Amino acid sequence: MKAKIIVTPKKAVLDPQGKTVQNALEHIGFKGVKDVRIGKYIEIELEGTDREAALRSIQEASHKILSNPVIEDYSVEICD
Amino acid sequence: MAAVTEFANQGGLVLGICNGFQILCEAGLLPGALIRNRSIKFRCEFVWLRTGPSNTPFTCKAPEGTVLRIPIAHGEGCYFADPETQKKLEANGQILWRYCNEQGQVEAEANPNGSLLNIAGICNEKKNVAGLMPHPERASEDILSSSDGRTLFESMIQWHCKK
Repeated sequence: MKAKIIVTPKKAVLDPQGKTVQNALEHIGFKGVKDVRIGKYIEIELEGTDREAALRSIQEASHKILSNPVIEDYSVEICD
Repeated sequence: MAAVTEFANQGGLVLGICNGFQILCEAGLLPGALIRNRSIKFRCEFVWLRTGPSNTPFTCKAPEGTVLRIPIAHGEGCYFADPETQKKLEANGQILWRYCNEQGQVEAEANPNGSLLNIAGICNEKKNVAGLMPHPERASEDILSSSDGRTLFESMIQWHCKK
């Protein structure tokens, strides 16, 4: 099993990195960019076959260490 | 961190400077978080700080409004907290240091990193845990071109000895 976790800055939190990329995109001529938010993508290989238990433990790990819940949101997907 | 948290919960004085401030926030000992500087640039320079309420172990030797000259050196020092936390920080007098100009006025131009409300440092509700991005330990002797940071450590010593 594999867990895929996406961590993104919360909507209310300023994302200077996203802003800088947005400016850079506009600078090289990309049109129609409304907003850019930059987060991180994490893959974790897991032992066992119990998907529900895996989801629970990865959600706990996401809350405790993979993200900072004060400023970031996360989503977890378990796949084969 | 478990031992630091236990020490803080028992009322021990805990001070986090720069990366230490970031860690205290992530560990949940202080509210909010530090994010990338608004300019996305690392800032290394002297700044001016306006001291907040003096009824804390970290500020008791500096009357409210005292202006300190202390250096910063960070890339992720932009303080963020949700509106509810902001209100609590202000109402409880937990904002201990704000970026200001030389005259002590808190203004946008004096904010080096985009911090909310020009916040440079805060304390917890019980006022025994504090964190700040500027480095008082790098401004504690005249030979370092400022000894303003010394008042912070002298405050803690005075508070501790009085207990």
